[in-house]
Amino acid sequence: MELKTGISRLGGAMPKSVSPSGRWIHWLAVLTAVSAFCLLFMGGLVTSHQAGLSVPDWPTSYGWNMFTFPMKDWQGNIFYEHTHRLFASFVGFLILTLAVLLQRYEPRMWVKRLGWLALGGVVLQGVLGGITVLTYLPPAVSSAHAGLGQAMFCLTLAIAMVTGKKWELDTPKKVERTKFGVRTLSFVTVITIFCQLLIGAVMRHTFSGLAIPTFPFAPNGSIIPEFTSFGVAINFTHRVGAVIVTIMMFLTARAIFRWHPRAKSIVIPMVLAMFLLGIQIMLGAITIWSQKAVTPTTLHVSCGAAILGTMVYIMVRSRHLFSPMVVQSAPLGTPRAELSSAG
Amino acid sequence: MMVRSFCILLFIAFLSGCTKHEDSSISGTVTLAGACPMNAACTSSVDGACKHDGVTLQHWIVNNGHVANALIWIKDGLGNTVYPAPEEALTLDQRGCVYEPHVIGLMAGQTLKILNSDPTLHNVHLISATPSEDFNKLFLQGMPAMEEKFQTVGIREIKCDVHNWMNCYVGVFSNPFFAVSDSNGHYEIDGLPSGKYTLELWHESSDGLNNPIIQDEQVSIGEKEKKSADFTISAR
Repeated sequence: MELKTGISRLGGAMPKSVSPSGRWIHWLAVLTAVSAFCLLFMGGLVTSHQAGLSVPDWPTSYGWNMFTFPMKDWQGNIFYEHTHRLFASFVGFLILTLAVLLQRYEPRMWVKRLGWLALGGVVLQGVLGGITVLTYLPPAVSSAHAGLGQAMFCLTLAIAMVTGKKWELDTPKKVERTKFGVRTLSFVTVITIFCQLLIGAVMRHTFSGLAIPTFPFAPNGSIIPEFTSFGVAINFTHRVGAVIVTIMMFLTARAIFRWHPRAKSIVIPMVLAMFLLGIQIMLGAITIWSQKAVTPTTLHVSCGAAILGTMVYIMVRSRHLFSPMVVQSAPLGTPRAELSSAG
Repeated sequence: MMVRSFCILLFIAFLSGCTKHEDSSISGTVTLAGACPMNAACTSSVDGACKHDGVTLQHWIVNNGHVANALIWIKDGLGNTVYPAPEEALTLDQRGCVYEPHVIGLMAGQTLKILNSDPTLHNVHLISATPSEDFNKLFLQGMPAMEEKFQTVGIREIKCDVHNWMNCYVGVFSNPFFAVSDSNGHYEIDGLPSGKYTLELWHESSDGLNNPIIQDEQVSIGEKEKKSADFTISAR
């Protein structure tokens, strides 16, 4: 049977390719993270189509149990809102399953706690989604719903990482003090990106996406617009945020390429993140030039989530690889579990 | 005896006719200055029940430069007279996935009967300047009419979030002296007593529900007088 407890694996009898919580839990976590990303995209579609109130009731749908609402009635914007609710239920089920399985089979207490944290988060996220529908989409609640969605995606991604084979096989290395910059920089970059996504959410849910209707210059011909409304202010803040995020990502990339050019597990994601950053800036411009057309706007939201996820991957991986707790370098391929027991 | 009764009836009819003729009216035309903006086309095919050609937003309904769906009402000049709300309900229908009419005026306390004549479902989402009044109700096909009464004066928007292009406006007034311009831009406010009035005009191109485009049009009117007050608005 494939099911094996982590405790037996920590004894060293298990092959290196098996993680403490089992391959299948890892793949369940990967499925959950991918599903959470898809759910973000679907949520983006709901907002882009202004479909958030197309199903007025919650948790029922037009008086029906959500799961029995007839497909023939999934008309117009109901399709986006209702499928978002159904898929959110699916993600909720995945996270519940993940939390229970981690509790049962995962030996590391902190990973179990991540599972329960994710479960609490998804419940809160569902309630926030319901509240925002029943209170007619107040910007604060809708923005919190969007922000928590991004955080949940990052959390499920982190669970997928720490339950993976690579996590156990990663070899923590001794690095010079200055090289710890990657850990700090990636952390600060993640925080910066998350703040930028929150600002974007507020901008979106206050209908301020076109408060500055031109790009890159404001209608007054200057980079800096005339601040005539909250919408202009939040829109400009989002533009400034994009510059800060770009700077932070370049700093992180420079640190990685300078200090850890051979660490493929963070170099490759960093290259991907820089590529996504270029796409994201283009999508932001197209969003304005197209007067917030549904496709570029939703892709802009999703690409932001992808960049956040990639940088979370780099942050978690770098904090794992370059832990200051580890003072000795180990041969390549030595499982972390063995290192821990040796230490 | 019959002759006497006939004479009494004739006298009553004469009196009521006199009363009618004592009323004055203000009428005019709403005109658009400049070119008419294009209304955005709508993808009505998202719902098979709504699919038909030429569905557009109804932002600008303009005929030979004359603007339909402008709300005109008396803002000042009626004193403290209290006007009871009519018993008669007004009807707002959802037909072919558009609201009919697109702009409607009624008195505070008057019943608005909302129908769904479509073979599909809608939601009825009210947006007003007073958020506590807002509601969002489901309206399945075949459901009985929904009846609403608004107690406070002001303009509300009703929209369907299922079909993004569907919206309409409801103006609520404290007196019966208001009108909505027709497809030729014509409006008429009749039954007015003589006096000096301030008129306001609102169109959905206005910046918000509480911001009439024209706020201070003065008109003095005598008994049995018919005054003209034309308005010109610009696209914004």
